[in-house]
Amino acid sequence: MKKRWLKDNRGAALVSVMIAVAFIAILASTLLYMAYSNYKMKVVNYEAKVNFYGTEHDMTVLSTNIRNEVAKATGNPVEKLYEVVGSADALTFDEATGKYVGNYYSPNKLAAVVYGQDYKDDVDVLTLKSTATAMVNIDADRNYGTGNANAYKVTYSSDNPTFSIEDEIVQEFNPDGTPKLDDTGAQVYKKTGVTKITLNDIKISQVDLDGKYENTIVTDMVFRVKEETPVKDAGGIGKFSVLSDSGVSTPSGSDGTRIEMYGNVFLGPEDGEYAYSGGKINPGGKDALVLDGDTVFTAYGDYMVVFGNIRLKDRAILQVVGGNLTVYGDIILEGAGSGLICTGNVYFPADDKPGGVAGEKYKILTPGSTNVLPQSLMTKTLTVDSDKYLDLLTTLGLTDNSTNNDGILNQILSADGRQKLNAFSTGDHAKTQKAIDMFGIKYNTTVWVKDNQPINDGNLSNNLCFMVGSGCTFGDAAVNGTSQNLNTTFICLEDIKLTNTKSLRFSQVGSEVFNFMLTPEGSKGQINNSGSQSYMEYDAQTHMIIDGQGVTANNTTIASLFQEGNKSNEVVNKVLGLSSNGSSAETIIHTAIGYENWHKE
Amino acid sequence: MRKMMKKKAKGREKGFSLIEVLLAIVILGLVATPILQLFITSANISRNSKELLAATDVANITMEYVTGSAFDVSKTGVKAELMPDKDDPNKVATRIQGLSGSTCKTAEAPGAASIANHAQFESALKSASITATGTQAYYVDQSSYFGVAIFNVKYDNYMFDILMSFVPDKKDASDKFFIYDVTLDVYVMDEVTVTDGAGNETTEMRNFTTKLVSMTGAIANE
Repeated sequence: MKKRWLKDNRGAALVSVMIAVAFIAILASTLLYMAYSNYKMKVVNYEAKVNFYGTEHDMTVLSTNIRNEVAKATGNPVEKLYEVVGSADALTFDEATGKYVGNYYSPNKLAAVVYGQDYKDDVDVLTLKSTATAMVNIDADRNYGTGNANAYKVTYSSDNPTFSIEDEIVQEFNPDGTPKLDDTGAQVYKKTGVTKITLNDIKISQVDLDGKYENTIVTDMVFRVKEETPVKDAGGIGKFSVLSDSGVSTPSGSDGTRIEMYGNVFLGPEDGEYAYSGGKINPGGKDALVLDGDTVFTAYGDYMVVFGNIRLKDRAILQVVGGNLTVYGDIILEGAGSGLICTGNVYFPADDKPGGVAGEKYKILTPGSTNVLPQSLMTKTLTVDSDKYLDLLTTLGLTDNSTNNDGILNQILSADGRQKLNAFSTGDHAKTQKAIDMFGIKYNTTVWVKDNQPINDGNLSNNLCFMVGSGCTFGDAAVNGTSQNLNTTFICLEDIKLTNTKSLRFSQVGSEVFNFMLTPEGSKGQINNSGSQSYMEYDAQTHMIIDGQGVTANNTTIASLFQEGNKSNEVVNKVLGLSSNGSSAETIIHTAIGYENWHKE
Repeated sequence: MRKMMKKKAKGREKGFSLIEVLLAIVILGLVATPILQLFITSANISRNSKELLAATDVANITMEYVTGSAFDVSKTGVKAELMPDKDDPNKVATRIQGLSGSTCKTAEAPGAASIANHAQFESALKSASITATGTQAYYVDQSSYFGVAIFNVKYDNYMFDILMSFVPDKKDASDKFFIYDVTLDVYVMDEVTVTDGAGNETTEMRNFTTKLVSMTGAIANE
């Protein structure tokens, strides 16, 4: 029976066909499944990329809009950011973490930042859907004119998202790279000057246009904010017209003096004595620039810094063209028809006036009549803080609170180890020689070592003039026309008095070859302008006059003061930069936005 | 006799009869044909997935280049990266990494004055009012819209077309930082039925016909 069954193969063809078909079907099904799976992976890959860039777009929108809000801050950017994000609760200090922490559950605020302030009223605060036009949204046709779908949502992942502010700190290391430890063995940290603001638990959901694929991430948004007041390079001594510890004045009867200064100007208080109170230097209520007798004083330069009062008497005009004017004192338009014109800004310090009523600041005063004071004049406040004041104190050598201070001039000149100018005395050949040695004089130097030397008939072009004695007087017949004193820089420890002078032009020196004058320290105070003094004779090429006698020298070069990178130039730049708060009094706010604790949900 | 009958019986077991074979073939054909169609479908799916992958790569490379670029405040920054100039007339395509190699000429799109957004640019490209021979790029430069269309970009033995649109998004004039919204579409050529004036229909291959990939991103000025 069994053998018959085995030998009987009727219907075997059908069975074989069925087996073959089954095999083919299985094979085809497997291949189809694999191809389909492969295709699905490609689709998922594509959708993942779409959602990646979409989410990146949302985060870019969020961070850019917040960054704009912070950049608009005119005050403290941290407070501005807090205001932008908003919170019903005040920030409280958490002892455990050392942070200021608060809530910021204010959907209106965050939505307004994301979508722009103009659109906040059109935004549904729960879903952040908007019916506003021209919002950042996408419809099926990629038209950016109508917003209709919530292609993305920005909200919070927790019911009580927090917002914290802290000073960023970093670990300190020893020079050998090992962690720095304090006496107790604990690690030492230092502040970086950066304020770190963290918005916790921001949730960003991005939905594709078909609504079938949603990508959600949760992240902390971290802002790092650093405020910086830049100190601009003043350009060194070579960029100065006048650098004086004792100010400039034009007494009455000057009869229409015209003064032009091309280059930076620094004027100290009239007697060269700085006051010191409350940890800060001040001019002690003294005048630094007094213009009278129809004087027109025009300064062309980046910096004009006056450390004392500016007093403008009858018909005296002060013009500052192309730069800013910084005054550590009052600007007093005292006389009739006096005026102040400044194309840049006028800066006053933020501190109260020393010796004045509490809350009283330096400002422009107009006791005179028919003054010239344009409405367009911009008055601002310096933001030099106490740390920078201490730098200025140190720079000026005033930290010992001594009244017998060196002043700015000697700080500048002695920065490279030179002897201070007030060490010289009258007619001292040896001291003069020392000056020559000190400054590296070689040839063509004119040195005046005289008391109370008036400068009459003086063409001081291409000169660098040091005045350390009783000051100098530019007398009546001294200077005519505007061609005099081209390329002359005056560095003066004492007063510069300009009497009966028709016109005078000072411009910065940049030459390596110049003449200089040294006058010894005499009595400080008012200049002796008796007119009985002999003329200050000079010869740019050959003369050296000491006590009326001439000594010849050849081809002098005092280039070291102008060499880039020397300490004197550094001091100049530092003093000017700190005094004028840098290139402007505007604080630069650096912000960096990043994401931390990023994860998908 | 019995032996002869057994032999005959055995002889009858060898092979299949013609009828059996024919029936088997018919059944096999009827059943296997749809099954074999699965193979064809699998092949099509594989081909499409490869094409999709290539298009995705093209979009990814282009988007990475675009979103990774730092642009200045003015629109010139975007244009400067993508617009042709006398020194580099092929700037558009040659800037996109991995897609260079062929000469690309760039010019203002015909009828650019009437194109103000992505959809209008796409419509103009589909309508064949803008055509190209070889790798070529056209741009539209309007006050609030800048678009670039690149024809016949070769990648991985495929030919794609790329349409990029840049729309500046700045909330107000005082904003220091702002964003360009970027839309990037990748297309393949496909047959299009065209009816002429006489009502005759013809088919032709046209660029920017079938959209494979579409992405949206943003770039912010630094």
